Amino acid sequence: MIIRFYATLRPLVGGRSVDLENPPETVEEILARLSEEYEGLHAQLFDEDGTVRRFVAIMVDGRDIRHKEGLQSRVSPESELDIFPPVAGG
Amino acid sequence: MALGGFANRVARVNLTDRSVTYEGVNEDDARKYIGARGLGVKYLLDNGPEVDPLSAENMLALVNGPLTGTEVTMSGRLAFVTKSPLTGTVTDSHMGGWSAARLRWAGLDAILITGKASSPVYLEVADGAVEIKDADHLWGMGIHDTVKHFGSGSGNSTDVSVMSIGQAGENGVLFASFLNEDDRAAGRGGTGAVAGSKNLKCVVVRGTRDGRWRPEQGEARQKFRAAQGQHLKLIMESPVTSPSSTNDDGSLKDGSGALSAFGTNVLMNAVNSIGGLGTKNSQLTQTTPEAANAVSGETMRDDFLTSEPTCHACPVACKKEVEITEGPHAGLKMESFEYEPAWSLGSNCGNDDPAVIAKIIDQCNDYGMDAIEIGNAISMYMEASERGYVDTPLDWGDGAGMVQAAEDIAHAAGSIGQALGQGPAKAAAAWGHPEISMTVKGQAVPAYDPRGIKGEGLGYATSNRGACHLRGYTPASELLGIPVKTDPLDWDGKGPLLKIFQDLHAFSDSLDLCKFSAFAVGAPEYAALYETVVGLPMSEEDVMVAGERIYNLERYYNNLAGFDGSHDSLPERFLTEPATGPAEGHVCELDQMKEQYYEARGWDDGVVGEGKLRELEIVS
Repeated sequence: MIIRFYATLRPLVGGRSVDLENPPETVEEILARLSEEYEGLHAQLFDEDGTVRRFVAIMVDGRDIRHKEGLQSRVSPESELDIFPPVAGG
Repeated sequence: MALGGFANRVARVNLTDRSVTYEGVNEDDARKYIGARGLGVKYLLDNGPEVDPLSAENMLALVNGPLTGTEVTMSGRLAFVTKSPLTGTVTDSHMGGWSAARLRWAGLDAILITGKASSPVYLEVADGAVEIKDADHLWGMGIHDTVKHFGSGSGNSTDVSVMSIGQAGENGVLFASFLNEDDRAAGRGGTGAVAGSKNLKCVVVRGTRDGRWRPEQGEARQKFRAAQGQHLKLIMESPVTSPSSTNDDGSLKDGSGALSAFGTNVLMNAVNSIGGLGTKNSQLTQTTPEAANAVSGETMRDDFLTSEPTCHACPVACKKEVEITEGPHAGLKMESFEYEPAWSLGSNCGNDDPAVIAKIIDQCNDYGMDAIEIGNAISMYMEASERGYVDTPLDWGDGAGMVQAAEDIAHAAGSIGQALGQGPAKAAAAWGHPEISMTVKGQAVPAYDPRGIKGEGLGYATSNRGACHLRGYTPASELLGIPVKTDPLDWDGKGPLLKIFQDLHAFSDSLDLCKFSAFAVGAPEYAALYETVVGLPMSEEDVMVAGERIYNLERYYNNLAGFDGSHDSLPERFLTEPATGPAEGHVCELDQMKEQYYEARGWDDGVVGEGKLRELEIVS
């Protein structure tokens, strides 16, 4: 599964994307695996209480998980994930 | 006048008889309409909403807000207000940089320009006075050379700022702009075309920080410090607006905010990922991840960034100066590679070459053109080519052809250049195919497709200055979650939500604070700043009422100019042609949203009634 990262998250994973083999089935599990592998990523994505930080956007196939089942949103091996830190402009 | 923040000095310039008179700011108007945008629209209303935009009778008003030139964070904005030749509505367009502060430091709140000079002129402003000077030697000059001619620059390295039009404004391009300091634009609505029609080349302002407003010593000073301190603290600590900084190796330090680090163009990948990025003249709503990334803020920082200048009193520094190092545009250094033109000249034109985008933005900055409008003009031309509507076609992604088209537009050269210089709406209509013009009230749409981000669709339709993302920035909610996260694909509730954004922005545009302040602060902070600078009571509720009053004042102007609900529309494409990508199948449910919106506004089919005008004290 290809997981794309953006902006200030890219240096943490060393590039634009990560190819995750044998991906688990929920966003929460995917982020847990990524957090284990990439130092500093967890702190950028989660508050101390384990909730996703405000303004962080996690997209599964173009839909923000805040409009799906949150961290329990299910993914398939064909899914595309995009993970953004707080981004804004105009 | 006893109101703080104001210089209480307004210059009325009549270019026909070359006269300048001075007056104070009307205190009642300043109380009701705050300053900048709101006060400017009041001047325009008093000048008459039925004037021909390109006639001598039209007014071009340069208006500061009460916070302009103070140390308040993000207060470096100036409003250009006029009747737009592109839309026929009242319009206001704001520039960052240093000109706004310097105008206030020079002792003026506003310059109200009417008439038409018999030959080219410019205005020179210093010590509260305006002189009209001959500009024959400047006419035909680009903005870069005009700025250089007067030795203007940013920051405190100089005491002079120049706000100028380029060749586009001289040649009657209807989306011609004003710029200051080479690259900071009052981009939208054709303010440069109005200046060109008056034979006005530029406004040169001399002033130093010695002329800035400062609070009196004692309690007033402490209150101001507290209000500004809280405002700054929230901006510095927000994960959205926090300033960026780098380590010795150039890498970003922890805590760097993405807006500051990558500029506005950090939105490119985000909007594309949800299927809200108009592609090929909005025939599609998503481009490939690779194409979006190629012109994104991330790529510009990694591969092209040279410096990060800022506006007066702003720690965010979202402007990015870049240099193109290879290809036909190698050696080009330019600023303002923003999200909007990166979209309008990027996926919108089927182009993923950042060098082409940089080149055309620089053409816009030099010739003085709106980079959103020109991208839409070129994309409309490309679709017309694809469909066989024009004899001299331009293919999607033809970078050299795009650069040439921009050249022709600025100089009104050839039939294509002349047609596109009237804006995509008029050009498409002239070619017999108005349906391929992505415009509202004659002004082109920005970089959020209304099928993938529905609140913006309503925002475009009901904007008082034609399609615009900045009148009511619902993506703050639909993308980020400010003040709450709403679903970009859901239409229900977007009417009342948009009204809140429109009213809040109308107030901040009248202070005049940068729109990006709203990512970190809101009505309570705006109220505190207003109270401590102007010296009048202002509650959070008062902020929203004043914003509503200003929005209704604009709508009232437009109603008197012949606009009603039938003009609050969207191109048919957004209403009937389903989106692609993640928003696949979606159209924009404009009618449903408009019904909720008009109800929230208390308008009857887009018209402000007598009762609402009285309620808001617009009429007595």
